[in-house]
Amino acid sequence: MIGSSSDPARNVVRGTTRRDVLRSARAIVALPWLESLAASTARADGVAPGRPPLRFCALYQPNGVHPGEWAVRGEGRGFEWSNTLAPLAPMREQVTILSGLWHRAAEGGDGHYVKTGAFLTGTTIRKTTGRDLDSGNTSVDQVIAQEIGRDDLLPSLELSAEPVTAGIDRNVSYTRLYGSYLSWRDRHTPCARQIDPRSAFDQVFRPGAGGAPTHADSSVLDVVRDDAASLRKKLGSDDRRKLDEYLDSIRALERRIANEEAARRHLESLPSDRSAAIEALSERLREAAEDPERAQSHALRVESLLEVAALALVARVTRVATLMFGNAVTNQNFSFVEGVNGGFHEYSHHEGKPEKLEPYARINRWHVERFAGFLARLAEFREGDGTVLDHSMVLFGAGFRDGNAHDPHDLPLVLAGRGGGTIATGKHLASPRDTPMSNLLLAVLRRAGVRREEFADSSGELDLG
Amino acid sequence: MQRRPRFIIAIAILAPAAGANDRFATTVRPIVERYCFECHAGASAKAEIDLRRFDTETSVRAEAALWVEVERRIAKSEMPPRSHPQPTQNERSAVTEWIDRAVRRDGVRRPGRTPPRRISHAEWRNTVRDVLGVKDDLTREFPRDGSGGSGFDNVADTLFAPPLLIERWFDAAEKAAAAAPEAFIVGALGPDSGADRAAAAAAIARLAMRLYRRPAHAEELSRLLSERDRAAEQGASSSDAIRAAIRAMLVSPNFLYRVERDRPGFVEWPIDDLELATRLAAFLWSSSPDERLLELAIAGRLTEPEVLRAEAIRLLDDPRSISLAEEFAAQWLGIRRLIDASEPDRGRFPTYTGSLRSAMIDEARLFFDAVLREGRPVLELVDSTFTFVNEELAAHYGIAGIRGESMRRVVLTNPQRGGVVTLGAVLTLTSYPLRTSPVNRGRFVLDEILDDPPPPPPPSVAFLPADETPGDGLSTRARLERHRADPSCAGCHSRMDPLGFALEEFDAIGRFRDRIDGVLIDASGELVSGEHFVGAPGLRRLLVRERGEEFVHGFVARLLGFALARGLEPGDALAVEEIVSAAGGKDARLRDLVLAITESYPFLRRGSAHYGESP
Repeated sequence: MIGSSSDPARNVVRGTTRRDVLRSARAIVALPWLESLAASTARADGVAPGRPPLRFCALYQPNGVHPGEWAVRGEGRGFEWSNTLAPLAPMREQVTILSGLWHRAAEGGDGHYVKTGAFLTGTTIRKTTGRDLDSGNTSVDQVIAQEIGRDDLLPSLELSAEPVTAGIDRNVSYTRLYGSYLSWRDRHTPCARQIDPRSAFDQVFRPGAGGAPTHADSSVLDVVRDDAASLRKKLGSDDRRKLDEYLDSIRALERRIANEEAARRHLESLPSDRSAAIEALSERLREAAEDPERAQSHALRVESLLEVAALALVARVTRVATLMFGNAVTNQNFSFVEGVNGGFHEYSHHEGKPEKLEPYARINRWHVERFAGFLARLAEFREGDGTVLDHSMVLFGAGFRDGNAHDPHDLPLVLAGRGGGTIATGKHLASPRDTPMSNLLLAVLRRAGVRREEFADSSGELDLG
Repeated sequence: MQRRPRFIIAIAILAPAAGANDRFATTVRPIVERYCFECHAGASAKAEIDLRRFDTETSVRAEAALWVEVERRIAKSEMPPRSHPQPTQNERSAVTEWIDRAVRRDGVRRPGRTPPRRISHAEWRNTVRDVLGVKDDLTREFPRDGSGGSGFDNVADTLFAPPLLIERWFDAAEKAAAAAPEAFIVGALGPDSGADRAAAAAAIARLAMRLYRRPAHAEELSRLLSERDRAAEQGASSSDAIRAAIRAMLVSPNFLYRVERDRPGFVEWPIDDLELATRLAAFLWSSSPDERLLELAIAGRLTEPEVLRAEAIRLLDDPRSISLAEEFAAQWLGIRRLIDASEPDRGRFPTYTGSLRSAMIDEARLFFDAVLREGRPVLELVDSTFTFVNEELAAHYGIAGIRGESMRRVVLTNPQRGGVVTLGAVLTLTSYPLRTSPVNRGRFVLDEILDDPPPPPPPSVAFLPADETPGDGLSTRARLERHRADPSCAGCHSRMDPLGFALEEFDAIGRFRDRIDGVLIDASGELVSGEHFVGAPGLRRLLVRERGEEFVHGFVARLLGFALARGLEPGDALAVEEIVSAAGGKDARLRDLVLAITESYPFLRRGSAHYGESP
């Protein structure tokens, strides 16, 4: 890794030391909630804890679900588990099963891209193979990142188990990239996702290592800013958007440089259970990278990414994370799951045939198991008067219900975590049919501290209490 | 009949005012009303194509792409469907000729607008290779880009600069600056180098010209020079101080963004010499212009037609034009999906190894490059008598006598294989983990060879069993034939499936077979228009003989989209026809088509706005 390199040529190239960089960053951004971490964990005995930050995480499962196996029986606290959701039984008191919600914006269009695009935005993507790419909205995770998490070590973390799908879909006239993103920085700009667990780990836990900005010294940033300013003057207003995106990202880089020393201090001073977990993950990733067969394994990649996301939230490097188990329309071969012998998308078109429904449900269940494992992981770490999961909102779900019908009604959704004591969990919250899912997203936003009265097509805030 | 139109954006153009002279209103619309409105009118119009909305020539021209499609379907007698009343031949030609004249030909030749474009990862990699001599691929950790326009990852609209990429750029810039061989730095410093600041300034100016694709301005140079001075003051050697300036250049927006000049007050104009040099190098090398191109451009000579032609030939003859195979062809054929998405079941197909997959990818690349480099007819992409294999791939194909890991050219004596459709890579990436998909393969042929992508499937579309021989004994073919008995499926599947049946003699990883579970394969099929064929050889022969023109037009449209790094617009339709005819029609050599693109109207010009956005 370059950041820790002692190659003299590089140091010469760099031309500056890290101290220069830190001096140049005008003010080191204060990270108040980081500093309270040690205190709040130390006081797990219940003595006047500081209020831990509320985390939000969205886990997206492509291709819908077997509706019959998904639906739980009964409402409220007395509900009975379905086959697909049964892996959540040990976390029963920590989850809210949601039904009756939908995105009106995801009706029509095509089977997949419109549904994926709407999941966290509540809006309809523009039908295009590229020009005027438009999701319609900043996604809910990015609203939190921009309004609340701006000064966190990482404002947000975006992960996916599959690379961005190449090509355009000439059948339906959408660029396939629409099916590869949950998170939109603004309505025109998707957020890049990490697909490699090791790179993601470095981004989160090794500030200043490979790619991170230690070596982006101030003088180079000056050159870049000045060049951009001269270039910008020559452009028409429409064209400036592209350059403004570049400048925004440069500013994000500067913030990371400014935060780097604080980040290092923060990571060094983590409670021992956190640092031990991070060290163990680092070791596991190193071992996995040495074995090409394992590096190819979808299951292993998913599990590693989930662990990176969990620990990033636990260690308070970020408060916002999204993870896609796969892209829209993925035909990932799930033969590694018992009773499954083929691709996910093929099974999702089950035609009501048992020989397809059964493996389809098994694939759904596999995802729910991963989700349950993720929740259990968050619940292992004490924080304040409870666990990290108590101070989280983890949304799991798909962009449509039945994969055979690409049905956008009654989306399969589970919200886990007590949201800092604001969510009455342990129940099945059945909303009237076609209640906007945006009501849920608004509820999430407001709990995270964003002052909004509406989000997309919301008609009010979903009552999670 | 809903289908993505051949050109993406509907446009408004200058058109006469509607009235009694509106030929559309007086002549064309009544015919359309009589034969099309039964299905294509109003809110519930089939495939959401509502033709009743159009009542004037202007309104038609405003959605030219749709009407180009209408013209095509009517001309090919695909619409109205045979089960419906048919227009007379005169009525048919009245409609198609009017559309052809009014929408495709008259005054719709307009160069598109090219917004500032982030360079693609390939352009980053190849430029750093060409200018700095860095052979390692430092872009591997860059976040993957999506595709736009005609399906390529070089389109401004779908290229972004997220914070993650900025970090990777900084990291890669440092690595590249450090990894550049000393000879390149010393070379840039020039013969009378040394620690002299003037020599350093000259070296930086030379490198900046290459990396910025134009001479750098004075203030840009002074910024770079101060980077160099700063390193020198800290004790860096003269060449290491240059490296500090290189690093700054590699993260400057002047390198990372390709910007073409606006001309306020003009609707369209020829691009200048430097812009042309940049377009040429991006198209033919996925890189930046070399010194010679820049010199010619600065001298104002590149836009001279004979100089342009000579330079385009020089670039094509250079080994770096392999990028057309690596970038254009690989993306056109969807080769990346072989790595990302299609994963044959390893238990069922133990011979499908990582090295076999690499050989398949190499085969596709070498085959396309050979057709280009050897001046072969573009139709050899559809049907050829040679390919490239190594020992493993040869064994996979049943070709004897090939030893070793290196790829080499072989003459195909078995007529089964030849052309892109029977590439191992394509046959595999159109299959599912455990079985072939005649539907996917048929769709591939329709989309990539016949330029006629089928409409989207209905939301509740059925899939076949995951395996080829499920318990009930019905073959894939039998199942699909049963499926086509459903009239709502037949419209599209009767176009896709028969094409795929012809390829059933290749299994899910592209091996030849003549039977499935002991039952001989029926590889016969027919086009909607009635022509019969048997097996891959029959299909290819038919495609070349009867559908060569469609292929060449569709192929050129893709290639032009790649060359322009944008989606095509109706204003490019005429250019496609001109390119094809300039290069010799359907018998054109691939190489001549590429050259004709470099001389085409939209390649040499730029417009002020997308059609229809502002008059």
